[in-house]
Amino acid sequence: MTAEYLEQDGVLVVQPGKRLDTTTAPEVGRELSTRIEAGANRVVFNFQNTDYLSSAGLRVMMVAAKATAKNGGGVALCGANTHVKQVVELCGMESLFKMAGNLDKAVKLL
Amino acid sequence: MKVHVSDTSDAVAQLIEQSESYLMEAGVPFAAVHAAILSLEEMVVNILKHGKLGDRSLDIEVALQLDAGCLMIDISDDGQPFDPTVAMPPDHIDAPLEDRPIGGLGIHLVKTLNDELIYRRSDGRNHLRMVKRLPEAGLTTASPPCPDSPPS
Repeated sequence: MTAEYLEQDGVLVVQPGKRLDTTTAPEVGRELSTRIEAGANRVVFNFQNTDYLSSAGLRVMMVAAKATAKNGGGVALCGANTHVKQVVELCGMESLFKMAGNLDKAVKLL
Repeated sequence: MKVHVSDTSDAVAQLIEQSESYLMEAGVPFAAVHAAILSLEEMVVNILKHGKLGDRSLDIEVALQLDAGCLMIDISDDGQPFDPTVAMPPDHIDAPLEDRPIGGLGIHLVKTLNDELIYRRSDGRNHLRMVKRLPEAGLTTASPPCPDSPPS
């Protein structure tokens, strides 16, 4: 299982496993595209279980941000550790996602 | 630590796991381990994706060594000549969301996460050395400079 998918207040919550990297990201990307096509336009990435994010994972998040923005939605992040945050910031992507400390706040931001 | 990376789908995952346990056991701080395995993944995935010459399978060697407060990662491959040290930074880093191409950020990350990147092409192979200085707790004197030429 590379990620878990939940729903909270009409928002799709994606909870990746320990790593969102070149090995796990393609499957998460496919699953997300399917769900976004089916109408999900607000997505939270909950990184509470994740300690590693690579550019392959960032790519999936960016694809989701682009796809949901088209439908007036958006993507938020929560539970990111310092390493995950660092990768997002080094790529200049912190402005693309709404950053929140916890899941409830992230859901409210969208 | 030396690893030969085969051109199979789980090779990168294996390389990451092996490198992570090697560095953790050596007592490298987690922030540096994270930077190292991220750099490794980005560069090796890049070689596997873009380095192929015809149908010939790639030969990739990875070596990790700790020396004089530095972590050095050497990657050598017999694929297409590619010098990541002169690759341009993504010009879309501050672009609005709708203008950003997907991807192209791996090398930018590798450059930012390491203190030095040294490249040379010899004997039909790319040789890349990534150097990261490790913080030494309790040391106030300057540590000697990191060795900077990739092994021949």
